[in-house]
Amino acid sequence: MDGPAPAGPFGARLPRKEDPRLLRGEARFLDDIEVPPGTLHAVFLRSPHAHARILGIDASGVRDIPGALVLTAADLPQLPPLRPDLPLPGFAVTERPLLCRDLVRFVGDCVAIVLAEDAYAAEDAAELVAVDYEPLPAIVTLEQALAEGAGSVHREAPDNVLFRNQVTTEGFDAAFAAAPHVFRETFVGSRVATVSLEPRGCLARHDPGLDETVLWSSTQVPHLVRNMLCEVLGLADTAVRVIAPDVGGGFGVKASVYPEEILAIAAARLLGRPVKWAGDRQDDFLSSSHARDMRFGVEMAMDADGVLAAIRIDVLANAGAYGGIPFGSSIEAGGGPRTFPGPYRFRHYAFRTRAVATHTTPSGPYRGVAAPIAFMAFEGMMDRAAAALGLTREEIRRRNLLDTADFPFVNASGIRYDIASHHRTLTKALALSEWEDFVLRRDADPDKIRGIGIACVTEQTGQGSTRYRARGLLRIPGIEAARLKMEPSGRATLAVSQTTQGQGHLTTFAQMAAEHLGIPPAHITVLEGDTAVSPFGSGTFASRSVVAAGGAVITAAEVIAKKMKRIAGHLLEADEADIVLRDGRAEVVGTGLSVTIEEVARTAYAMRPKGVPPGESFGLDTTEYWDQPFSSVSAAVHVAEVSIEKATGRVKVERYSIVHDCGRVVNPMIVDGQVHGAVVQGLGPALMERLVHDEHGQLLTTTLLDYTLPTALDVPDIAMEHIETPALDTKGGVKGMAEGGTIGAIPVLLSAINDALRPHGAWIHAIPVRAEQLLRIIRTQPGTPEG
Amino acid sequence: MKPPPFRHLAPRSIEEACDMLAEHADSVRVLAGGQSLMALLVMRMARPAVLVDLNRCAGLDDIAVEGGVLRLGAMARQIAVQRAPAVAQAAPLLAEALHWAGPRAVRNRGTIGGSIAHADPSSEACCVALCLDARVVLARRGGSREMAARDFFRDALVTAAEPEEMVTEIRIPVLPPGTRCAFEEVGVRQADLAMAGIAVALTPAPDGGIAALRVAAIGAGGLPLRLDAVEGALRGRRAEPGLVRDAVRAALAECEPPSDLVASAAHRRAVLEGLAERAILRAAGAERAAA
Amino acid sequence: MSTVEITVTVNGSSRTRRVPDRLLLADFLRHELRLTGTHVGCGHGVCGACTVLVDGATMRSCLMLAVQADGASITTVEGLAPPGGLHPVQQAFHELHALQCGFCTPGFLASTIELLRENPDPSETEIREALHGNICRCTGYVNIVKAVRRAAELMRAG
Repeated sequence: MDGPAPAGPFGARLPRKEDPRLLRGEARFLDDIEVPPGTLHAVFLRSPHAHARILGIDASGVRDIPGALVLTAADLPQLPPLRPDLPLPGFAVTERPLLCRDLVRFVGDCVAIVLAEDAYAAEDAAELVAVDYEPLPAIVTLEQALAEGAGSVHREAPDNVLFRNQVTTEGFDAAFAAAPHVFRETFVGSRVATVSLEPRGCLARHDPGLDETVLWSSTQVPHLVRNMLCEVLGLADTAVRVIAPDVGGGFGVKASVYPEEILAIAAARLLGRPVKWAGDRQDDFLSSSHARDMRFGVEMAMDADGVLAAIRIDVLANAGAYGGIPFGSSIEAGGGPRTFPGPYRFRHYAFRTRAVATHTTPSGPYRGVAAPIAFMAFEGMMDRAAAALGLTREEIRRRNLLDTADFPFVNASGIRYDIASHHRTLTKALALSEWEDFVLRRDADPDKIRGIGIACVTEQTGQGSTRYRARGLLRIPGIEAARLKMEPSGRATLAVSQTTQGQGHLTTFAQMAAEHLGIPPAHITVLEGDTAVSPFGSGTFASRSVVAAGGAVITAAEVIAKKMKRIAGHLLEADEADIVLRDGRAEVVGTGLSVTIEEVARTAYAMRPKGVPPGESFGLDTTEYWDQPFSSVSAAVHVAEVSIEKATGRVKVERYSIVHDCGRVVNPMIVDGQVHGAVVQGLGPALMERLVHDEHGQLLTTTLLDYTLPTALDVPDIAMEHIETPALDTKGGVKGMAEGGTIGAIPVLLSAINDALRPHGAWIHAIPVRAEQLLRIIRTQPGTPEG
Repeated sequence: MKPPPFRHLAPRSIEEACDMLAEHADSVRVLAGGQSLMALLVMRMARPAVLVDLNRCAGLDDIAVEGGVLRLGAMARQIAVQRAPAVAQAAPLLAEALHWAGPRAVRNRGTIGGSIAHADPSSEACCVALCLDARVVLARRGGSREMAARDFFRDALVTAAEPEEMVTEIRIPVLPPGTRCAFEEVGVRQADLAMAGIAVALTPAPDGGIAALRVAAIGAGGLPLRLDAVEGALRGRRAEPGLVRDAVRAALAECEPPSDLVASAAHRRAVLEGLAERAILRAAGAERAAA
Repeated sequence: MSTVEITVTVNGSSRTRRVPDRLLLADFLRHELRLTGTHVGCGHGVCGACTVLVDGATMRSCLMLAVQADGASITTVEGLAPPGGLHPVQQAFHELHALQCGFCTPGFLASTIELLRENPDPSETEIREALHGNICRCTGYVNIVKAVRRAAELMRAG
């Protein structure tokens, strides 16, 4: 069923509370913070080699720059390395030095911190540090890393496999062997950069008098950064405060703890001066995590009717030079097989997966993690199978999509699905996209060939502590918390264990709480991103906010609402069960009797003639934690139409439609915006984005001229409709949703391109799909005559 | 991404600028709109001791037709050139091409002289200058010289200008009456640095054939270049698709397009074939054969 | 290091400062004048976040020197509307959720204002062309395009 029409703030298209200051230029991103007097500006001197021994560092040249100084590993001897030590079978524990002492392992590895009075002088000084390197052979690609005699990136992983896992479900072999059809293909992702428009950066200040250390950082995980600072530097967590100010985009790349954050604090404490690092775009390309350098080998076994019998996959992920904190090196290799089963009904599943070390920038989480490539592989195989079996692409999906009667369903990788409406979502998407009429559009332009594609995807969101424990990610609590404090005025502050990078938390959480409190969202101030203000929690990543933190927000609002009803009942001499909170008043249903919320609040704080009910505590203030018991799984069907210009091979996305189901929608405007943005973060990798290394491991794409991001001209309008199938496993019936757009966009664009190429007898299995490749196919494999 | 130290000099006249260039010729760069040079500076890929900034230099931004020649002051902004009535009349190809020269904010600041002097392989202005037989005026202390664009461009980012010289003017002969132009380009994105581009100026003969044809290409070599062989093959003929395609293909076979991250030589050649055919037929006003 | 005294009219007020020759205009606005609404996303003239209006025309403040702005009149995002108010373009971006993290927004506002000044009723294609020098990583441009059309309506009405 569809959700109810919004009666209150929950479900309303409320313009965002965070907008005015962003629109007026009043926001404070990291580089906007007025630095304390005496601040030193840092530049991180990075290795220009992918693999080299450091023979010596001569920093004497910086004497020419007044006030400049250099710190190397020798100056910070007490600093231990980062040690992502996930207690998982198959996980090789390796170490990452914060500053390299003897060996560098990727172009961008930190070798020294150069500090000066301003950013210009710091760059001048960095040029004057002479590092003597002995270059060593670099391992760049998955093939090289896995080749016999490749050498090792880390001695703890002699075969360069940092994480491996292998699972075969019971009865797999028999099911696979019995199937009449087996389709096989390998799908290759493109290595991409996230490119949050604001690069990473941080400002560290230590006050020895107060023994207080503060780090402002452009991060998605302030609490995890704080914990790591304390772990590495041996500090008390009560003496360290981490603040995420306004953050200019995250998308996962800022969900890791980075060496620069720890080094900035270490330098500030050592030197007794504040230290600021505002990373630039080249820093970002070299040192912020890369993603999705992955391949999926798929063997899909089907019965004669196109029903899935068994699937075997072999997954490889290029993890780069080091594991990360908190996600280790297993995030992509682990996530690939976990997300792969999608919305489909099959029980026989076998996978092998490996994370592979190379001398390249470490990989990390990026919107959808491995799922966009997993679904590119799954949906790509479904298209292949449909063609081979003579079924339409929608029909083969209908035969395999989970049906209402299947729920709750535990998929082949052990993920529980509470409820979904996959068939209805598909039917609606076909209608929205005018799928049936595409034949009329296919040949509309004689200069172009045109194709239409479809992708049915799921998105695992809002994981709780059980999931993170199972993944060995003990540095991620998985819980979230909300402290709701109603003030005597009847207005409330809501401090959430999260931090926002544009997702609209200040509005969404206010809407979620307002529904229970009977006050408008405008009267609820949401506070986030400061470990001294926010209750402890995990942070903002993996589409967890509305589910995990939302659960805490709703729980806290329920607790406060209950108490307000008890107090109001006491004031109105009515049964608390008869009290409703709405429109700023607590009223006795059906009587017209009411008091204002403010009156209730003032009573709670002992400022009215009548006191609180006997035995009731003072105040309206609570902190509630929420642990999401199961992942909540959203679903969507994407349909895209592309054209390929015959003269140039260039692809244009002509039409794009999505039907989306993320349970109850708190703010449709925000949800739509998240999906739009996510789609374009899939469109880029599918059609134009790729990081390229040369054979020595040198990154060749370090500017926005070389790394081409989609502009407004490359993106179509996006038609979108929602189905609201309320979640059963979450508070409020919500599901997370910020990654599905990316997860759907990559497979659907590949599907559409392959559809356009059908007359040419070609299939593409790798992204980005390049004009060059398409033009070659069009010219050398002439299509069947039209008509 | 902060520029290295330099001295910034802002001459008020061409003479003053030339004096400064002469004085600092061992390490000097001319700063025009800065849309390329400033990016090189912040990446510290250019590090002159002195920048001679022409933005306050008088007499460098005129756009006028005189004596059958379109004269473009070096500091005329791309947007101004693109919109100038004199350009629309004398060299509409340039206006059409400059539409592709970058986003609006870049064209607001970028200059025609800067584009020519920078000699970027993907430059629309350089491609059009070659196509339209533009001449480049260079000033130095005590004198000036003028040379054909074809001789001015030496290699990617390399020109015939000496360190103490500056480009002051671009001169383009007014197109013969009836001449029709077309410009086509493609990059990775819908609007992008040109991976391949074609500029065409075609003067029809009274009988409907081609009296004169000039074609220049981006991406056919390390620099924009003229496709003389196409011009020779089609002059005096009618612009028919098969003929045009053969002429273009033959000319491109003689070229050595670069292979880089954006495209291989083979792809550039293939795309240029399509673009050139399209542009020549468009300029000829010929209907294209069904694909 | 050589420095120069410059006077720039920023958001209507005249500001005089002595600046190093190499100081970028973006850094001058952000760190000298503390007008931090102008953001630097790439620093090499591609992303458009640092776009400001110089004598009414959009320009990349990361590709200009502060000394080059001597005598110019600059409008930054802080100067688009009176304190506490919103320019119609800002209003439209708010109404239609055309910003998420907000980092690129000031550049989009500047480009939109220039577009609507010259073309009060742009088509979708014209809007996309006018904005292709501004990168947004959050919105997919969908709501930005809608907001520009809405802003055009507001401005034509107002």
